[in-house]
Amino acid sequence: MEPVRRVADPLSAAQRAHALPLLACLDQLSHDGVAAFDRQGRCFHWNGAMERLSGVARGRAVGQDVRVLCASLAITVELDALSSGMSARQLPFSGAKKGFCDLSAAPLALDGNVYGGVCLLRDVTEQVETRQQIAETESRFRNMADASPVLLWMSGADGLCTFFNRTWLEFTGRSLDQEIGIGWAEGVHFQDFQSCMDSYLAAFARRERFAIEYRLRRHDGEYRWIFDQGVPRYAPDGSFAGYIGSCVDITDRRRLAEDLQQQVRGRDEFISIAAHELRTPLMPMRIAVDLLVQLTDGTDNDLRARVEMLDQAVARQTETIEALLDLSRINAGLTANDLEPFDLDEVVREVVTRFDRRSAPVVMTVSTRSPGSWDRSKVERVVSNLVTNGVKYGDGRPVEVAVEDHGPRVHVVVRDHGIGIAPEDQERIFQRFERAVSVTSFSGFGLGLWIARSLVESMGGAIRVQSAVGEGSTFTVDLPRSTESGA
Amino acid sequence: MVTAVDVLVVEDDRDVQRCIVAGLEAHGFRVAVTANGAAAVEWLAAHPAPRMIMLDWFMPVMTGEQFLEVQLANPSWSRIPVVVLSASPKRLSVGRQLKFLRKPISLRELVDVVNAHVGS
Repeated sequence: MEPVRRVADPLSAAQRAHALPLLACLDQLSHDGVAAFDRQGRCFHWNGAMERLSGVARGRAVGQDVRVLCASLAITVELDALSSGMSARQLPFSGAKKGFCDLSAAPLALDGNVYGGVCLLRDVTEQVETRQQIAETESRFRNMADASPVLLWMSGADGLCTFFNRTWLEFTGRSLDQEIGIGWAEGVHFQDFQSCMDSYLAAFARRERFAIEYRLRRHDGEYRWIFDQGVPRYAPDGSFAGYIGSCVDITDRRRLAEDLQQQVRGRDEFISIAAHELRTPLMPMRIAVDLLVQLTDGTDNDLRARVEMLDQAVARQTETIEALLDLSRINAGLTANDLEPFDLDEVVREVVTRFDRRSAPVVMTVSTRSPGSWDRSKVERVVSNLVTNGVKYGDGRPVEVAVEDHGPRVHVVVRDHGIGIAPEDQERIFQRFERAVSVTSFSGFGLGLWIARSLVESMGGAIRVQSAVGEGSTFTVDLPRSTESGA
Repeated sequence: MVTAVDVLVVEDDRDVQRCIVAGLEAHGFRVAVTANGAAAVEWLAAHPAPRMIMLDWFMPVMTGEQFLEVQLANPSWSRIPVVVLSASPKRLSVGRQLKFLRKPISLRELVDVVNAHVGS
C-alpha cells in the first residue's frame, strides 16, 4: 500500500471562512446524517441529523474513529470503502433510532490530494416498511387467492387480465403467462365466446357488476359451465382500476336443474294426458245418465232407482278423479297461476248451479259483482270442493254461498248447518287425508279441504273456518283481487 | 234445400260425439258432427253456416287452435260463435275471449250453453 501523505489542514483561512458557515447551514437543513473524517478515519464533522440518528453527540463524535461511530449505529464498514467512495442501500441500523438507511460515501479531495472522506446516511425506514407492508399485503392476498376454492381473476382499467389465482390455473391447466391479457378467452367455448365477451365489455364500459355463465375448458379438455361474477374495483384515489372476478363451476348444479326441469315437464305432461284420458270418458257417462234421469223423471220404479245409483256413482267418480288430478298437480309443484280477468261472482254462481242435487240445496245468499283477475279453474275447484264438503257434512240442510267485496280483497263464504267441527279439529281438517269424523260414516279421500287450501294459498289467499259442533261450519276464502302470475 | 244446423260439433272422440248429439237432439237442436278441424273446414265450405260451433281442442289432423285460425281468417265464418269443450287441465291460450267448458259437463250445462248462443 502506498504510504499516505497526511494533510493536516489543507484549507486556507479564507477558504475555511467560506466553508464553515456553508457547512453549518447545510447541517441545519439536512435530514440526512453527514460525517466527515480524515485519512486516518478520525471524525472532524458530525451533523445534527447524525446526532439524532446515532444518539452520539457532536462533542463526543469529533475525534472518534468513524468506524467506531458507524459501529454505534450497528453498521460495519471498512475505512477503505468509505474513503474511496461507496453506496449501500437499505442497511439496517440501530442507534438512537432503529431502522434502515442508505449509506453513501465519497472521498474528500483537493488538488488531487485525498485527505479524508464524507459519508451520508439517509433514513429510509419509512419507505422500506411501507414496501414491506405492501409486499406482505400482496403475499397475503395471493395466499388467500390461491387457497380459495373459487377461480379468481383480476383485470386492469384497460380490460386486460393481470392476475389469475392458482385455482384458476389448476382448473385450466395453463400458466399465468398463457392466461394473462386475453389469453384466458382461448378456453371459452366458441358458442359462448361472443355473448361472454359482449356482456363483459358492456359491463366494463358502464363499470357495473356483472354475472355471466359460459363454458370454460378444463385441463382435461372437458368444457365446464362457469358462473363468473365481476365487480369493478377502484384505486384509493377513487379512480377505476379494473375488475375483480370470481368463478364457480356450476356444471353439476345446472345438470341437476335441467334434470329437475325435465322431470317437472315430464310429470306435467303425464298429468295432462292422465287428466284428458280420465275426464273424456266421464263426459258420455254424465250425459247418458242425465238423459236417463230425464227419461225416468216422474217414474217411481226399479229403473229410476238404478239410474239414481248410476248418477251418484258418476258424480262420485268425477269428484275423485278431479281430487286426484289436483293432488298430483299440487304435489308435482305445478301450481302456477293462469290468470284471466273475470267476475268472481259469476264463476261462483256457475259452480253453485252445478249442485242442483237432491241431497241438499245449494243457494247463493249474497252476491256482489266482483271483477278481478284470478286462475279460473283454481277458483272453480276451490268453490266446488267447499260446496261438496258443505253438502257432505251439511246434514241435508241448505248450503249457503256468498261473495263479498272487501275492496282489495274478495271473500267467498260457504256456510253449512250440519254437524260442525270441534275446535281441536279445525286446523287438522286442512291436512292431507284428514277428516274430523270417522271414515266409516263418510266416504272420500279427505282431500277436499287440503286441495282448497293449497289452491287458495297458491293464489296468495287464505282460508279460514268458524264452526261449532252441531251448528255447522263457515268457510271463508279470502282472495286478493288480483293474483300475481307465476306461482 | 239444405237448412242450417244449430250446432256443428268438432270432436274426435266417438263416444263424446254421440253423447253430445243425443243430448242436444233430445232437446230439439239440429246437430252436425265432424271429427277434426280439417273436416270441419270442409263441412263449413259445403254447408250453410251453423249457428254455433262446439270445438274440442286436442284433435288429430287439425287441432282446435288451428281450426280457429282458419275460421277467423274467413269472413263468412269468423262471426260464428265458438264454445271450446276440452278435457285439458290447463286453460287454453286462445287469442280471443271464448267460452271454455271443461269435460265432463252435465246435460243441463250443455243445453244451457247452446241455448245461450242459439236461442230457442
